[in-house]
Amino acid sequence: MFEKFFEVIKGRHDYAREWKARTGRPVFGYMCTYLPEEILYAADILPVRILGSHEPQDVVEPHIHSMFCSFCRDVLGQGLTGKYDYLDGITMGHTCLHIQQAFSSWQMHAPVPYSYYMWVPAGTQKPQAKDCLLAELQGFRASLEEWLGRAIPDEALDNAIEVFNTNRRLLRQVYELRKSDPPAISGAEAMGASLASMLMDKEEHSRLLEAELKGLSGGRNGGAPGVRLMLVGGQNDDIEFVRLVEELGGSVVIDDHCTGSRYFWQEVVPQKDRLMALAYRYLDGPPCPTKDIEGEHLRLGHIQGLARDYNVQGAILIQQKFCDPHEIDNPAIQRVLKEEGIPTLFLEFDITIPSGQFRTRVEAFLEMIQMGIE
Amino acid sequence: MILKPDYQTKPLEAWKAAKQFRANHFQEIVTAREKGKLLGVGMIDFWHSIMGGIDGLLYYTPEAWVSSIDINPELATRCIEAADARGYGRDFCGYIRLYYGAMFADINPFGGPFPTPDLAVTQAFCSISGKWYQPVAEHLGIPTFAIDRPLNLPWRPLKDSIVDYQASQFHQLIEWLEKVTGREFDDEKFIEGTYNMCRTQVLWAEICQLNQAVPAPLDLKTMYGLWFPTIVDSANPEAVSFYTALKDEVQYRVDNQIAALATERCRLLHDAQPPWHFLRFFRHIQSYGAVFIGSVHIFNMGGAFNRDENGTLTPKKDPRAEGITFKNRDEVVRFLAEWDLTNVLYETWDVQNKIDTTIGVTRDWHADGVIFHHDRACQGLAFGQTEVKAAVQKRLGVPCMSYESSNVDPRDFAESHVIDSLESYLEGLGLSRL
Repeated sequence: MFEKFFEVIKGRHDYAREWKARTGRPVFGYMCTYLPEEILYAADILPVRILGSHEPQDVVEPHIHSMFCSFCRDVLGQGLTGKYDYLDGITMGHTCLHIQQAFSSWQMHAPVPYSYYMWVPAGTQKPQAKDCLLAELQGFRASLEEWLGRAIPDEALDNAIEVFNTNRRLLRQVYELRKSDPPAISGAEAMGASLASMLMDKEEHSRLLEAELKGLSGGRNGGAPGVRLMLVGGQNDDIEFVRLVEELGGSVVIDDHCTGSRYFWQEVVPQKDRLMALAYRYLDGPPCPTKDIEGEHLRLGHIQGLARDYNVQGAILIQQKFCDPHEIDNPAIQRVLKEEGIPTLFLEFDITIPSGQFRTRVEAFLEMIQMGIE
Repeated sequence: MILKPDYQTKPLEAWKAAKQFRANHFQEIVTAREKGKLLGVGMIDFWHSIMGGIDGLLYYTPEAWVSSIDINPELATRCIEAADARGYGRDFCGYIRLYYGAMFADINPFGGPFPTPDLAVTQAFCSISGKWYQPVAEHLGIPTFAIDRPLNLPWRPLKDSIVDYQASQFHQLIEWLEKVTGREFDDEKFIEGTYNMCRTQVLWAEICQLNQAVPAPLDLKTMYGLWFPTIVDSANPEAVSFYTALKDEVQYRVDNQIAALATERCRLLHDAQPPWHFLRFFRHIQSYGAVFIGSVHIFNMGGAFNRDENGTLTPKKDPRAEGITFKNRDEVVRFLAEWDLTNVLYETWDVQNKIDTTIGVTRDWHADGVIFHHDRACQGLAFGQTEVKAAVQKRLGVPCMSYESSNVDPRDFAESHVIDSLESYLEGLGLSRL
């Protein structure tokens, strides 16, 4: 299942290079999920998210602290070693200072023809944040238009919004399939579909995903029921870890990750002002911890809701090493999940993970759940 | 090494007033309840004039409050371990961890119970400062408000949309304060407080600028003590009086070459926050004839500077000096938003800007070296440090040193290692013990 998606993830650079050669159009890298890709897509640009390489590197030390988040260091390392030398531009929507430093250092040391940093409000619950983001989106659109030497028409934005919404609906369908017991697809497959969506031309991804979903319409036995698990965290793109968990008897049925559900959970509700429609979508979705600053701690209710909807038995909290926004949220998340009777396992991820050690810890966690030990 | 005659030196007369200001402030927190005052908790580099618009609301700055815990490493460790025990990790903001720990363990360095606030107001200016009071609200059940402080990128000119956003949040904060305290907001106090706040911040910037003089009239450790009024209570007229007198005294020291360190031979800039639990670090270098003359952090947090494209800092003019007369709340709020959004410190959350600013300060304050504190407990100020260090060395030829520690967690400070590194660095600069 979903083999094509895994191939793209593994050969992401080949895919982007081939796309660029085939279409003659630019490829932009982007960091974090608050940069509305729809605008790039409407400008005939392929947006590809800079994800983790999971390969050790030795080039970032002069540029970014060892006590900065491992994912951000991995991202910068790939830029500095030329893995993304085919990019025509890099962009990001503001989230945290760590990825901002990766972006900033990338701009300085691996310059590309176009780069753009867009500030995104953190006060997502403030009504006026939409107007503020709208102005930022207008600035981004104008900047792109100047670079391209042509306008990005509203019709192209309408099309991009529709293409992205279609893709989001399909990914939601994939996630729906995981509500059954046993789930109709594995957690690794679902993650593969989501990650590939960040790397591929959305229309092509949707076509493939639709075909895969049709193939599943008769249902599929995903094997023996496993312990139903939720993953909670940030930029977790480590499919091998999910495979490991599922080999050990877990079934990853849902996640709250920006590489997973948070990426596609919310659709754009079209309105006359296309950019305002985007502003609503990007601020109203399930938030990254950096975008959840008010007294009403949105993530807690959202995660609780997912746990109920997907009948979760246990949760693995994944934190990129030194990621402080997630670190400050984790105790509250553990508390609300405990109130739901859901035990948690906390794991700290680095660029590479100690799979032997994690195997032992996950095994123990699963056994604990199976035996009903609190 | 060139031997110079010693400069004359003498104790700072304003020091006593600084200590008294600090003692009064903390005493007020301790006695707030018995005086029937509401207690708010805010944040460093804050809009003190807004909080001051509510009569009978006393607010404190948690960073300054927990720094008083941190000068007692044993007490700091107790607090941090209390936060650790609740699952808060070791890597994020040390001030937050100390504050949480004091709250969980009911610790108050000034005696009595933890000063439980009635309300809390924070601002999102780094990756997690906006989230500071979520766990506090969950633990204490108090109302909170978060200002989402925009980063104005690209840095200039200020975008109207960004100013509008910030100004609208100030209006909301005022309405929220009225609602949760049940007290009317006093616009006259707000206006007067804003004049004072801006004046305080300009005076602090002017005092910092005077430290460009050789010999330096102030050393950084002393400056941390003098910094207190502008970061905790800048709208207070006593803060204006204090800094007016201090500026006069520092000017006198400059005019008469009265040094902070009589044996000044080498001037060092420090980057990021100090290890509060080991302030001796700042005195240790003095036996080599070296003096810390400031930091980008202490100059700009609580200090109002403008910065040009060469990284040159010049103090802003306060509104009265600009001939601005505020007529209503709207005007003040708009002014405050623009004042705040042009704070140089936040512009350093761009690597190139931080390089330019640090180079400008190194050059203009005549620093012979820069020491970077890779602070595990403040990743915001650690932003870009490795890039800045390389640029300062390359572009100015000024030698730099780094040490890794935590501004709050004594467990993350390897004293002998840091001191060994420091001494080697000083010897590398051609200094030896006097």
